[in-house]
Amino acid sequence: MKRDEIYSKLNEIFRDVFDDETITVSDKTTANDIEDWDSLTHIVLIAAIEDEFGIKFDMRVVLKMKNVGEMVSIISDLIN
Amino acid sequence: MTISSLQFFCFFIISIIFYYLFPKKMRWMVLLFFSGVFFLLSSGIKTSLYLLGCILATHSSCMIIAQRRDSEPGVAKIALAAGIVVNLSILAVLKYSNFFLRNWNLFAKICKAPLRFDFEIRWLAPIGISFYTLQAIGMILDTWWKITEPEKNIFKTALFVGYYPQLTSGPIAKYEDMKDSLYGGNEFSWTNFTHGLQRMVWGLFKKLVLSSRLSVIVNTIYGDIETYDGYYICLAAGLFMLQLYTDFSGCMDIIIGASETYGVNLPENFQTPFFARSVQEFWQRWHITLGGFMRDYLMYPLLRTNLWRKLTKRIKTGLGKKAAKQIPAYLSMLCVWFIIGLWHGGLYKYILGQGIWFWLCIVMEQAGEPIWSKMRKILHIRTESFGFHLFQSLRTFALVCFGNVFFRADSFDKAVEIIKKGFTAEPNPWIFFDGSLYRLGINEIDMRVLIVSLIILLIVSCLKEKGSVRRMIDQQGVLFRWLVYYLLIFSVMVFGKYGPGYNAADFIYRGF
Repeated sequence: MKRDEIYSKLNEIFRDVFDDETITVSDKTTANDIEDWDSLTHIVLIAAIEDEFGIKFDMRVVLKMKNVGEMVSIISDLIN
Repeated sequence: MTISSLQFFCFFIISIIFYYLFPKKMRWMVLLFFSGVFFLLSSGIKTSLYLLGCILATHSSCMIIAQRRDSEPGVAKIALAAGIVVNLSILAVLKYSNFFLRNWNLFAKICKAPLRFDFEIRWLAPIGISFYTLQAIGMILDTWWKITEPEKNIFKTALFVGYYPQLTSGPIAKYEDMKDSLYGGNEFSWTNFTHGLQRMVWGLFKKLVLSSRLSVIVNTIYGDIETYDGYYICLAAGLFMLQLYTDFSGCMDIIIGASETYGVNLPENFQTPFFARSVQEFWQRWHITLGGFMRDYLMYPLLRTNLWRKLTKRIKTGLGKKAAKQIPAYLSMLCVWFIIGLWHGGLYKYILGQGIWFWLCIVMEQAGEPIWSKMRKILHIRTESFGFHLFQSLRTFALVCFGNVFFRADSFDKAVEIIKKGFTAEPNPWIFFDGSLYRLGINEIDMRVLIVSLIILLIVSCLKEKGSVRRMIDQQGVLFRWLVYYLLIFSVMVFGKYGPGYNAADFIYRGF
């Protein structure tokens, strides 16, 4: 799966989790850029991404992921 | 040895001299030596066995996990479980034996079971056990999750677990964040040194000038609620919160400042908590490292278990998407808050006052948000106005004070009695104007010192919200800077409550 396709799916997940149809994520998007992205929604988001892509992140990734760009790279590595 | 005593400052100065006299490679050994001395002087030789048990279990667990994870995952899993179980067992036996016995007795009474325990166990727990146990468990889990490489040298593990500044009251640090500065043998830095000392003096100011005076008033009221009811109770609840803050954050300032002089940076534990506009935000600013630990090592793993994921899916099917987001989250938060309450001590006053009460407040804030939002619209409230922010902060303060009545009271029943006295007694607002406050254990001069000091604390907190106060002072002229330092030092020396007749030893979180 290409990065563009991953982004397309991620945007849908983000909009669904945060109930905000205007969200468009990019490489540099972080928790600071989305108002409701707190510690609880972070884990809800992670679960939604894992279900959608059929993957399981390591706890290291869950705790240390810096931005959406890194998230996309990890998803890409796990599914390709 | 308490960290606000003269004995500690002599110990600290000697440790600093030795730290920088030794070659860089050996400096961590100096810290280990002084940590051992501090532990023995503070806790005694008998309890050192528990600390040694924790170090051995943690080190062995980390090493086995790292060596066997790929070749023998089963063995690595057993090592992970064993490391955590040993650490938690030591903590449970030393701190929660009586809690278990009391609950068993209650259970036996209900079920009419014959086995009862009509005695209390008095174990002597080592200093800082609640803090270093969490650090050790974090180290094991970080190794398991490959967040960090295991520490091969057991003496270095010992230093991480028993680093002396943290033994009094934390902060709970992560191995990955500490290892470089802890073992690296830091160069002497005049900036680090002076900043560390300044912070220690600020901590002493909070503890000896503010907290010690606040404690006199709080103790007077809590000690005689038959006489002091109505608004006295409200006053005591508010002042205890300020006492707890100045005591705990003052202790953190001394600890973080002392550590900074060695070039070892510890994580912050407070970020002006009374400016928080919700209880959730309050806990993001108060005892930050405990909240962070519970989030990373308890809530996240819990929410990622298959059981929790299945529960979420079932709720989604039965009750819809919104409920599937909220209910599992609130349930996991309930577990976390229960553990936070229990961590404070094996008494229901802690479980309810420091745990469940805050969980309830946060759930009310979040689940009730549609209602609160509607109310704000109906009342035409400008949510970004200063007045509304102030209202939110005062409301949060009141809710936090309520929970901490349980913390301060001798027992759960006593806390309920105190709250009843606060609400049912005849209102007595005149106590704030007729000089009654001067009859609460401190005289008029002490009261003035207290009020001026609280104003200084408020100003510093306001400045802290805007940025680093330290940087602001650094940018001032030399005359102003030294005036601030001297005023602070002299105010601690002149107005600080210390000396043989006064026991400044009792840092509230020291007992944990």
